[in-house]
Amino acid sequence: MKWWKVPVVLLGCAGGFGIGFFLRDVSAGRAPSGAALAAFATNGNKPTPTEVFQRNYDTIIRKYARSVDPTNLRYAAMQGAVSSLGDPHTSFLEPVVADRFAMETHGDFVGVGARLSDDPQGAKVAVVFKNSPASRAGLKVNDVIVQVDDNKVAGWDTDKIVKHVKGEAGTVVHLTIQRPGVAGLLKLQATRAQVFIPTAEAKVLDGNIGYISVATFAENTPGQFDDALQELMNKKTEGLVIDLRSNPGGLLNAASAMLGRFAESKQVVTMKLRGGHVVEEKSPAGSVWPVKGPVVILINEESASASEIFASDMRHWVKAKLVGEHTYGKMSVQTVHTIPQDMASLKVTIARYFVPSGEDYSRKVDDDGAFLKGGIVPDYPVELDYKPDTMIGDPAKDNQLAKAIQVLKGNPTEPPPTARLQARIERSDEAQAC
Amino acid sequence: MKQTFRVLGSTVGVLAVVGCVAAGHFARTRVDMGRSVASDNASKFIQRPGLLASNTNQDHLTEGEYFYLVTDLLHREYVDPFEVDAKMASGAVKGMVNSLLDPDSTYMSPAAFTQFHHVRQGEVEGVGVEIRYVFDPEIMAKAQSGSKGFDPLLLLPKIVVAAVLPGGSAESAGVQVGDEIRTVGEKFVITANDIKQLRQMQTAVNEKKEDPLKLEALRKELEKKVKANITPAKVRDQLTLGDSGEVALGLNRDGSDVQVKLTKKRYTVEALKATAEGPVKLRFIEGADKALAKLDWTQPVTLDLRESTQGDFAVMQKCLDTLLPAQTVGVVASEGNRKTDVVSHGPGLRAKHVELLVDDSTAGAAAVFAHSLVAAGYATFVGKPYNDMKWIEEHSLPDGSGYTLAIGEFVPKGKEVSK
Repeated sequence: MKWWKVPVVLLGCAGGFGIGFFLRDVSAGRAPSGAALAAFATNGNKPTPTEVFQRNYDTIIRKYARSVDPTNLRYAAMQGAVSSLGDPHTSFLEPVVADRFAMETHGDFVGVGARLSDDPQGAKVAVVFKNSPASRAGLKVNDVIVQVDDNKVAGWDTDKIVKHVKGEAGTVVHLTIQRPGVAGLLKLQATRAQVFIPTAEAKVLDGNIGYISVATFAENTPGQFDDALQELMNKKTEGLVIDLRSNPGGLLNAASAMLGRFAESKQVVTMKLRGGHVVEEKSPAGSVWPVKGPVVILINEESASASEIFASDMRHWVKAKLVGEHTYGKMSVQTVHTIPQDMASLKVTIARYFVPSGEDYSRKVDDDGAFLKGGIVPDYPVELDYKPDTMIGDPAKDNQLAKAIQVLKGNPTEPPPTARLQARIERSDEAQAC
Repeated sequence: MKQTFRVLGSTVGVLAVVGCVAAGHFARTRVDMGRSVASDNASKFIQRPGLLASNTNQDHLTEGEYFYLVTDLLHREYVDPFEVDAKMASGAVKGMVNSLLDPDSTYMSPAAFTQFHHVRQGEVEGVGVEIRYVFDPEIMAKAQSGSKGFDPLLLLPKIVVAAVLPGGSAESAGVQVGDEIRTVGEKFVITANDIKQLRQMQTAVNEKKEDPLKLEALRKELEKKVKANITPAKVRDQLTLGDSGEVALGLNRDGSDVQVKLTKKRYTVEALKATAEGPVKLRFIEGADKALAKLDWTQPVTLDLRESTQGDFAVMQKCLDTLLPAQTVGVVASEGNRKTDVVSHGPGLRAKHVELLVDDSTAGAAAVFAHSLVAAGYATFVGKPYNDMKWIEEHSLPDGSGYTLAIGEFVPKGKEVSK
């Protein structure tokens, strides 16, 4: 062997080690990690976070008094790890939740067009979408579905019932229901079809006032919002109430497109990304519609994110008045990563944003999570006067909407302070679409 | 011949370089994921070389790989740069332990876990109580079976005083075992019962059996409480952490409201304390076994095992060894028919006559100890211990936090293992 071969092989080894060591960085598309090399050189014996997790995972699986579903334990661990960041908007979504989340963001799916909530006898119909297979079949709110095709569904999880109600487009599902006040069971059948989750709906209120309620900002919301706006313009309404109460937000570009109907080429929001990068979102050019009359926007503590941007910009740009209760106070942007192995998702805060008005309305809570301050403060604060017959969207039974109309007409008076519904307890959050 | 050597030589050279690439990757995996995971990975590397190129194309990941994947993604994407550290691993453990929905398996923050250890050395802080979370058994069974068809709000536990420690301000204020904690300062404890009441009223109103105004009043009251609610973990911290300041408690004692004002302090509890009346108070904290050995066993001895719910199982085991000659005293049985014998290793000592004072505040290690002595024919009960005997282990984590884990039900010798 020639003498020079030894250093060549040694060099090759060192280089090879380096390649092996940094392969993970390169395949993930980033610079080789000096921190990892330092960690290798210094504390080889300190357990890594992954090792600590793995060890305790094994302990719990092996030793805990009851048998534990390994997959559920894994997901609980991921949720815990992610929430240790202390950011309520950065979270791990297990596959079932991730799937539901994606569906709601997307805004359409194949099914019958209803929302179901838990019921001991099966599943209770919480919402029936307009013009859906369910509404055509005659399904009504408060019906309890006790049988789906040949399956008696009493005692089933709502998730499972929803799965059975959904299916391929064009197929028929037979539902047996119990309707309050009707003796015996009713049988209905619905043909499954593409269903659009209605997210923007218009109606004309007394006094020729237009009203659009926007439930969320999904992919197809701008289209629905345009239809709603068009309908009101055709009916020549004067003055517009946009109801963003309990709208948790959604897609920024949906909000941006909708804002474009009121003002063009305006700065919607400025996002500050990691490392100080700044991205600006503008409303589209040439998209303004001649909407007649002033605009009032209804908000409450569950109006968040894109809702807040929409409300803040409308107030800043076109002097829209805000009525209701302070908003949630979310000023960050998330992106969703899907984990290909099991279709779970990681929702990560990737930026903070700032509205053109310059207002900082970020939510502050105490260490129990109770609200301290933040949120957009309305021009006309009024709490929802919750009564047993309260009906959101009906001016006679919705005091916040009544106030909005007063503001539109230009003669607001102060309402008496009243208690408001604690929506977290009251609302059937868990109602799932099918 | 020379040709063969040359081929052999270059083959060895190439193999050495390839080996170094593998070693480099292995070293990195070890840095990122740790040793146990790395060796696991290395075997996979041999079977499935794809792992070398990418960690994300496998259809099945080990738990460690999954954790790494998620935390690494977070590390790269999150708006504020951070390091994946021991705190994140503890977060994962906290998530796992909390998901067990088990009052005996609890995650503790570094401060709480430190205090937990102080108590086991006889250093008590706070107002001098031990508390217990009481869940609705029906809802708990549903939740633990993995069913999702229940209202998660019904999992909010009642918080009950399990023991009143001697020398604390709770004792002098007359706090009693069984008192339910309803308010802490200005904050409210929300329990499943509050939610149930509202739901029942709702149903009654829907069926037109109740006045809607009553529902409105109840809802407003609950709304007020929800706005100022305190979590069960915070209640525990408030009562058991800190050596100064006052805590006002609103208690429910057999249906009537009792208000007490307690002062936090730090004081010492002894492992063994003889009282004038005769009973010897035993606590399973550091040194209990040595103190037991020094008692005069030629006389009848009464051990007071009351007001003891959070004893140290390791100390209790030493106490068993001290008193009982080598023998099996029972088993720890867990689901799936796993059974572990509980054994006294001896040497034991001969006693004249031993009586054990027990009641509902004799729980955990104290209850296991009492039942073991009685099952071995060594002692007799005066009273009845708490009828829930989980064997509980403790585990610590690198960031100073830790958790307890119930590993099974203790069944004394001579009793049937249920299920």
